[in-house]
Amino acid sequence: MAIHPLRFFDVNCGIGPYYNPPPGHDPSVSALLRGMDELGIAESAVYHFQAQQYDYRVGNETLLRETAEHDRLHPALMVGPGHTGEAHSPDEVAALMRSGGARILKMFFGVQPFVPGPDPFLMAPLLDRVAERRPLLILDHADIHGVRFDWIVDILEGWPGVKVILVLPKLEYHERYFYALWERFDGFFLELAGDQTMGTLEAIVARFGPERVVYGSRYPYFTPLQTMLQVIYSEIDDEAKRKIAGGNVRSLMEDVIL
Amino acid sequence: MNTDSGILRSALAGEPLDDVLVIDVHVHWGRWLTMNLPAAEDGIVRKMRRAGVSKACVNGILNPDVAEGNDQVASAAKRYPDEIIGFAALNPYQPRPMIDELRRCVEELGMRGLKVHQMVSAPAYSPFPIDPLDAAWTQVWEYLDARNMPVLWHGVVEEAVIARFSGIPFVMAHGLSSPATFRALARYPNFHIETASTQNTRWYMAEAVDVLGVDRVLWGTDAPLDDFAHRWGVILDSDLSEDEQRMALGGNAARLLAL
Repeated sequence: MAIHPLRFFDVNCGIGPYYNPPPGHDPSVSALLRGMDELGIAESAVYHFQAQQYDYRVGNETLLRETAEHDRLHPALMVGPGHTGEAHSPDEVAALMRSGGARILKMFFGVQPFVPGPDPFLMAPLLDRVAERRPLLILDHADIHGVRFDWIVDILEGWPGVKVILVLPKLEYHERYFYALWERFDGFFLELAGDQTMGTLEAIVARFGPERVVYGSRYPYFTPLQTMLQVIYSEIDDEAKRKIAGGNVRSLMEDVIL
Repeated sequence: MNTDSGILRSALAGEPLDDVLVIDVHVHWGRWLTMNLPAAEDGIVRKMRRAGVSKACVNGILNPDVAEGNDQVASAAKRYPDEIIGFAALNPYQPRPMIDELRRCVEELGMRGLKVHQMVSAPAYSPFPIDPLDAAWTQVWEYLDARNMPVLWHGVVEEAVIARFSGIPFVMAHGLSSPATFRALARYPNFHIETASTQNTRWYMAEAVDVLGVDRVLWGTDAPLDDFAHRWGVILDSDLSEDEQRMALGGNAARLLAL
């Protein structure tokens, strides 16, 4: 179908089986690609639910295998502290980034207290190993109200090559933190999935420019359409929309050294 | 998804939906706590015009002085008579009897419905439990029942109220994302749901249409806590026909409001 002129890049898509899908959900890569085509989404960053909900290694290996043949899909490796071996070691992550062309790392946490978050003390070995490659690090907190902004500050201060993208933010709750982070750091970005206060996107662009925000959907939990429409109808200029829809992420990806 | 929908095509092209009657049944006027609301109040109307939202049912429930909140809504409806439809707000803890404030809102300020919120019923906020069938609330329901005026409810209302006051169209705020509730209350023809906050839209919408029928699904956003265009996704990323999309986006609300 004829669509919008924006080349959307969705930074937050999941494939594979997960705990609580709605009836009839198809977890496959082909279903994701079909949905992207319906809405005119050009590219997506994809993680595998088994890496998030079951086993880092099983999920990441499946992810790389299933996305390898699709240029429009970019693997987001699920990472965590590698001290006890469930998560990949820093060397293994570096090797997977190179072999799988993975420019994006992702952490999912907060769903249970034993799932480690991006505590800089625990993540230091991995960040020390990969920071020079300038990866994107997506932080996905199951309970956004529990985000430790001091950890984000420590990561941005300690490893300035890493670009941190916080997904599913509640702008109306944490906007002051985001503004404070943007006043100090260039490496912090927000993804837009979820409910966002009316006019907030425009306010951010007016204050900080359009480079700090990226489009993401949280597919398959959320429909990709709603945030697309928010961007399309936003009261910002076309160039700002182009950057938010996908230009910003593409620029960040080009900056990654594999 | 109904990719043949002309409404979807228009939306993806960023065009105002001017050829669709779009009524948002869940909009707040005023400020809320310390939240940054860049497009509150008059900004809502600007956003409505940009997106092509025809009318908004606006309430002032966020103001703890409900009479002042109702006056602010009435003032907005006076300034934007073609776009703003006032909904009254009530608070059982304030000295003025609720029925008196409701009468003022309807008969003097021209409001067309009532919004009730859990901020006056949730135990964490309330000095005593709310009984929605006590004398004060019963007066309110009887007044609305006699006029078939709709109630947008997020708290306060219970099943017994819906069952007893069948002349009131009850619209459950955020109801689309509560399938257990809408299944349980579907047997009451005056029970409806609206769409605010629902994210995983295709399955929820299909389930709601199966259980309630599309004529009991209304579009609401909770604006300015959310964005109009953002919340179109709940209707347009569904398998509804274009006619059904028109019903959910505004036709059903127009029927309940007797527009």
